[in-house]
Amino acid sequence: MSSARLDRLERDLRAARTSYDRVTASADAWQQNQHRLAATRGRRNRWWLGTAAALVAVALVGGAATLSGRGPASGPPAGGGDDPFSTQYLLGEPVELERVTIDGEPTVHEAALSDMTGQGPNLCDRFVSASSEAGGCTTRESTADDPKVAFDWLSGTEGGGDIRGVLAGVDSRAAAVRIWMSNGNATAARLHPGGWDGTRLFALTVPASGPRPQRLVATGRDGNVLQAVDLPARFGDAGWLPARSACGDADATGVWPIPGSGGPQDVTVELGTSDALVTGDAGITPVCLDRLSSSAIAGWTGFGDLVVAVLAPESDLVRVVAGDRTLEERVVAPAQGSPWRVFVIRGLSPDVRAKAELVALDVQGNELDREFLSQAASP
Amino acid sequence: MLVGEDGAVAAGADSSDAESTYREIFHGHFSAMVRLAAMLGADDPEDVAQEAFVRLHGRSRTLRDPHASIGYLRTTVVNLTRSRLRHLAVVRRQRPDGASDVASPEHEVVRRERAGELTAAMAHLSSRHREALVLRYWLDLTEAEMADAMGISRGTVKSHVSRALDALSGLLEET
Repeated sequence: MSSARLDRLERDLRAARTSYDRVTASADAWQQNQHRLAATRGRRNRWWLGTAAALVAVALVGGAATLSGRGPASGPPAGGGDDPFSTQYLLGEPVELERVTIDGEPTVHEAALSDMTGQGPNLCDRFVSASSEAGGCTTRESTADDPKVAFDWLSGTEGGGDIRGVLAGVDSRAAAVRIWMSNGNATAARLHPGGWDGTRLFALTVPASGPRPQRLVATGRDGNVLQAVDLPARFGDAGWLPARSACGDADATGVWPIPGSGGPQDVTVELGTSDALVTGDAGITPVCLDRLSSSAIAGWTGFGDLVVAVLAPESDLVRVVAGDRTLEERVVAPAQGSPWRVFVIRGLSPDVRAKAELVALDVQGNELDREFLSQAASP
Repeated sequence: MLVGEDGAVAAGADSSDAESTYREIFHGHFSAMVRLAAMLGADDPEDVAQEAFVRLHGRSRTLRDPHASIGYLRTTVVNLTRSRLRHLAVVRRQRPDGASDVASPEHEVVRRERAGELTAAMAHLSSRHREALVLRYWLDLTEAEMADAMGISRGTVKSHVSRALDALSGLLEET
């Protein structure tokens, strides 16, 4: 770009800023904020029973990146210390979600839907071992009635740096939930009846030292994706997963193509927990996709007529379209050591690319996400 | 005793100070954060700003440093907006319209048209490119502040801006 053109563009850009001068906040923004804080407080606080040292640090991180720094003085979300597992509050029978070992002690993780205030069901859980018991409650998502939301309750658990876990309740449309781990393994969640409105509950608690849950995908009866949740984005990028960067100093977790799979030899994608490094033979300058998004198309880049995209694991198929024409449609290849998937297409001339879009589809062919390829590259 | 993720310990007196700081920051910066979210293309800028403040509220250590608080809010707004953007379904509830700060009506029309073209083209940029241009040209942030807000290294800020300008220029040529 010439210097004069650049100057003009910069000047016009600065001038365009005034277009946003009239964007204002609601008059009752502060009141709305206080309501939100009250709701969040309820979501984050844990109620504590006879806790032993090993479990004192079990903390809810659902809905936000941090544990609120409020102690028991602020009180439990409802009931003033009452046990949400008291039969008077329960909406369904408590279910045993899993058995885990915490601090060397066999521990049962139970959950139930409970309404202690008459204001709606909370998802409450408790870790019970021979010497201790601790748990908490999570309020129903404010967006739970949105058809795009299947995870009506969702929270994360950290325990003294030793454990990481997710606890969730899905609505009645969800036939299955797949939990994608940070090492690329996937496990089907065991869904337990919640006893209220067809809700089903699940949890997965793992040692913090091993692979951690990275993405949850709820699917309907025909396999269509109802909702996918990127847990690092949900719980705070920095803390939820150990930093494994493909572009930085830390080692990448995964690689595409899977060695020995017979995949392309001239393009390699190293995959971190939230970034990817695309390298290849002559003509390809290494490109870092330094912050993969939580969308199904997490990032992409282009080199001449080549486009390389990194996709979330619920993306089964990718279609490249230009207007009504489908230029390419292909099943997406998995990577090794990472839940991310990779799609590579060649032969897109600049003219075609200017009009082309990348469309990610689930196993049923439903559209999950879409990106224009006319730009230089994605985030 | 409960200890927050940032190591802050809950305590009564601290808590009241923190609440007062929080209120001050909210009233001083909420509108700016709404505007930033709108500039970045958020479908519901006010909701993004509210969520950013809720997250700030949980960080008592950050709250002790107002400068760090603003940086934290900015970064959170950038991240939240990025993760919420749905590429074909961005609904702008607050479409920008021009300000009346130019004397000549003809000039104003031209300026508005150009601003309209630019903001329309910005909507087609990738999140990363849009962030770079918004933070650089609309918020006048320093490279260090941009790096913090975007979660990138300081050394790559310039290249992000440069690539974003190229992309924007290309989009404007197409129109």
